[in-house]
Amino acid sequence: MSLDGFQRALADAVASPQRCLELRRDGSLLEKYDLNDRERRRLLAIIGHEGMSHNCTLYRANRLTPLARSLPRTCDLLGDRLMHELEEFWAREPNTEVQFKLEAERFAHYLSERCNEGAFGDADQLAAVLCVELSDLDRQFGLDSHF
Amino acid sequence: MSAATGIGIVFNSIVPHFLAEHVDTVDYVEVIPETLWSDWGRLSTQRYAPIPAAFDEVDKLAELYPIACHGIGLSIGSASALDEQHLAEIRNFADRYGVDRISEHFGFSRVRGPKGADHHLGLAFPMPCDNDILSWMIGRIERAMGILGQPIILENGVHHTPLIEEDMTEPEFLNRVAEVTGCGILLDLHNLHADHRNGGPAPLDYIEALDLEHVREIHIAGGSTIGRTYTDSHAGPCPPEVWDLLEDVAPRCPLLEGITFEFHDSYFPRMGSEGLCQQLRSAREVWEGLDRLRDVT
Repeated sequence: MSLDGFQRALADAVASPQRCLELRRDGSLLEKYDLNDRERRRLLAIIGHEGMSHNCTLYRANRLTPLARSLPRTCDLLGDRLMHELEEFWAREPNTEVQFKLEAERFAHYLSERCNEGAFGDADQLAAVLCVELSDLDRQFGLDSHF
Repeated sequence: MSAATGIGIVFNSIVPHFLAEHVDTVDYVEVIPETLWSDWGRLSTQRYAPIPAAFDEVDKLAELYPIACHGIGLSIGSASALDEQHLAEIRNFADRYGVDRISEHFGFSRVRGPKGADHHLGLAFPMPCDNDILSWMIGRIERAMGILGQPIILENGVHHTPLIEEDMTEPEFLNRVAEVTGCGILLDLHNLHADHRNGGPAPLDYIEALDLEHVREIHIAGGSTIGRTYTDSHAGPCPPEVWDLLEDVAPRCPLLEGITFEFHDSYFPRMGSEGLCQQLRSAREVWEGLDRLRDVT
């Protein structure tokens, strides 16, 4: 049983529609995982199935939900920039975090870095909105920031 | 407090307000314990941080209703080490509220990360039902139940993608696990319905293959469509097919303790209080039919 390799390969694929497309074209990309022949065939069947696009959608929805619910005004302020920033954030933080507060704080930390990089013309406003929403979260969760 | 039997509802932000106005619509409240705390992960020295406001809500409900536990965070099927800290925290929750039914999901949602940390997949996947996984899973379930101090009951998940070349079907796998470990089964009828809508097997075929004497709880819910896929989104009322399944299967589960309605709070405006009352009334009609059947037999 090489369940660990199977689960890792599946996790990597779910997190990246691009990787799914690459695997559909070239199954040998699975060679970096410890898999037996059945698991390899099983993974390729999963990744090649039309339901895989739904798995990828659910992954992204489940990563977006903690941010949309915890930092709604920040998301509103980012507006059309939000999708680009999410893609960049998810690339930097590939590990999913389903704890709403922790994920919100990770995104806030990322946005602070982006502000420091000069990525936003409205950095001061963004920082102020983030500050208010993180304070709200602290009150809601009854504890101080993890960072 | 008496046992969590009859008609239940899964706790969310709407439920306390709803039950304040509709006290007698449910017999128990099912709580997802992971919504009551922040979990900083396996490597943290102070891993769990309770959310006081959430515990306050459940404390108040627990004065009126029995509490059942429905975990979403164990990931019993992960190849990473069994999360005994998490199980101990669930045990604490169960002890606090006198919980006598603890359910979890048959599948995995975490994978082993670096240095013993776990990486969350972002969604739950079903387990491949193979012989080697069966014996491995039996050991994990037995260990989990030892820590919990009571049997766990496992819920069938949804399958958006197929698992080919399995040694046995999922009902066969669950039957074997239940026989050997003494765990129970939580039969989620909407998950079966969703699988069928997406090209999977007929729900009744799955049900016929399952030893219904292991079923202690049934979940019912509604769903929605994203693109070409029907999802178990808990998006409001149960579809008619789920009611038909419930009427068919509930009388055949001799140890059934509860029928639980699940809805996501963000969809509540679509259903409203009266819509929610109607779902619970319909579930109760089925439950009362079981009571009459038990009286007869």
